[in-house]
Amino acid sequence: MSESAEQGAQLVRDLQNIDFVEIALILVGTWLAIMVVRHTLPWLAERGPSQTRLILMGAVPVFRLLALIVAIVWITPLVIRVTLENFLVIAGAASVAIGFAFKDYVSSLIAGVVALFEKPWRPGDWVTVGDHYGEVQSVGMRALTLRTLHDDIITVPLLKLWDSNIVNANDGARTLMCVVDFYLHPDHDTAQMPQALKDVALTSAWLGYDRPVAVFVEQTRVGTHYELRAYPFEMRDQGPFRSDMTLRGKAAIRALGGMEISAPAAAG
Amino acid sequence: MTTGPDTHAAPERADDPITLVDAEQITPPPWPQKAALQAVLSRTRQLLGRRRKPFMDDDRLRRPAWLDEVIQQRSPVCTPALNALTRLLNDSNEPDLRLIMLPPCDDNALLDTWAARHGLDCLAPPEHGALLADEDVSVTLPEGDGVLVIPDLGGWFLRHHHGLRHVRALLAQLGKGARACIIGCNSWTWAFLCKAVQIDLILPAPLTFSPLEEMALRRWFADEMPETAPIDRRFRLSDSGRDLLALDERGRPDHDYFRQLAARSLGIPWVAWHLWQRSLRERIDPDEDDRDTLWVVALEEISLPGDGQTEFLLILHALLIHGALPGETLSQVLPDMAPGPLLQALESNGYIARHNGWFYCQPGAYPAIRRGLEAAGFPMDLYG
Repeated sequence: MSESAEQGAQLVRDLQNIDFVEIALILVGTWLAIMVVRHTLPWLAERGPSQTRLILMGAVPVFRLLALIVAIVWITPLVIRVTLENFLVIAGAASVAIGFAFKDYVSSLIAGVVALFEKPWRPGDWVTVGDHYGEVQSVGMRALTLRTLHDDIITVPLLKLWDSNIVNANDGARTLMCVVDFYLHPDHDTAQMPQALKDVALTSAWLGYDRPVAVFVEQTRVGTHYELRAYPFEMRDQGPFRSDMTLRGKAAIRALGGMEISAPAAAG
Repeated sequence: MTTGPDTHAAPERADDPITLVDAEQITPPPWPQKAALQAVLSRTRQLLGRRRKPFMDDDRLRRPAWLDEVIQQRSPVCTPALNALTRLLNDSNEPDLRLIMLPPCDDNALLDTWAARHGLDCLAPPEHGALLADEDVSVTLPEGDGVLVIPDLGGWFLRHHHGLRHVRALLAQLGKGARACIIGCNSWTWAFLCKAVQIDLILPAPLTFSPLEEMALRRWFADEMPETAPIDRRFRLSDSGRDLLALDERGRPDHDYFRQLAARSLGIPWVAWHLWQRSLRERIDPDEDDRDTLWVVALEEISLPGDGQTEFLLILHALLIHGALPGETLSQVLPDMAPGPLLQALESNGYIARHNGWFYCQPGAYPAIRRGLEAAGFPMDLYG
């Protein structure tokens, strides 16, 4: 037998010694476990108490990573004779393959692992990636899916982690700040308007009580800009919450004799 | 606290079933282990979409027709709670301003009743229509020497951007300290007002009733049952046949019904009373022996209709904060939605009831309502 054939035989076990049934069972079992967790935990998260929702959804990618590690560690010695030399040979071969063929895919995989520790996004978080804002529905091996406020599903490659700014609105918390802007003609009752707008948020049925409500005022070129900031008790209600504050804010402004004007962008 | 014209002075005793305690320190009665497991199992079944066979299906028992009328009525006035208030009134170390955070779903206007019994001045809330009226608001406290009682702050505001003026004016007057006051509001009102008008800065450290524990609950029931049952009745547990009120040789009930009831009702007397009323049945074909027997079935885990849809919960939350509201006002304190059909669904399922056009949460449904609100992440009260 030649030297290279001997090395190959030493690297990979003899075919008759590899238990393909066991490997198949491990692969199928891992795939099944991942599928069950991937479907069950989000299902439970939707129906269970809102306090546990983010925890359950966040557990899916962690479980998948652990399951894959266990499967790889389990299968590797069934196929390969594990020695330092063999490891270096395999690493070298893998590097060439990855470098030419699977660069982006592996880069996404690594980004997914890094994201598990850096946590720029977690399932259930509300993030902005590029021009897209939405709730992270799931984090896969290669991409994550966002559900926007318009109920669109957007698939974002995990590669974006390397070269894009990721804006996370709640960062793992159960609520996030909602901001509603009003632009008023400068001639109005500035003594009462901030409190009136604050009351709009304080009396909203969607308001969370454990975060502050604030009104910021600034004079802009086209009018007086009021920024109403508040937190809903459940971040998925941010749409109705903003809508509620907008509608009742307009009513409060009219009641105090204020007059809304076009936003600066519209005014050109 | 300035002593009023009280003739019922009674010092606090160790065996007083209800005392006034710091509202921040309140802890509900513990669940019996077995009942807690059953509750978890039941909720898991609900989560998985499988409903347990209800006890009502037992073909030997039925719900007495007269009970439906009784349930719509009020629970008996909770005398231990009144006594606790009287002890507060007689405590000379009490500050002049004291807020009593009442457990929710009080169907007896407890502070009103108590103030009337002691001949104390009461300050009524403004007319409901005035709360949103476009007029200047001024509140004046009536002059006098004794303690002034403001029985329910829930009537002093609407959760509307124009509806907080009266309660703010009232708090400003109270802050001047012109007169000793006892102010009542329910625990949901308190939570809202802490956020909306920072009431906790003017009226810090509210007191509330200690939860009614197993033995106190049994004693209260034993005292009140003869007053409320239409005829002389025996109450027996349907699962064991034991007498509900019987005690063992150690002087304790030989079943854990009252412990379960205390835990499930969060120790709130009127909630416990209504839960108990809901669990009463009579035999369809009674023997001579049990013709006057009412059977007490296991307390049911109930859940909200429509799997706790947010719209239902928004209505229930608004009703808890305000205590009671007329239908037309309800839409003003809710987001843009039509509450009419939802109110009907809630009413027909026994979660809310109506009196003179005003809707309120049924005390017997309160544990389910609270659980639904908590699971959906709504801001919660302190009592529970």
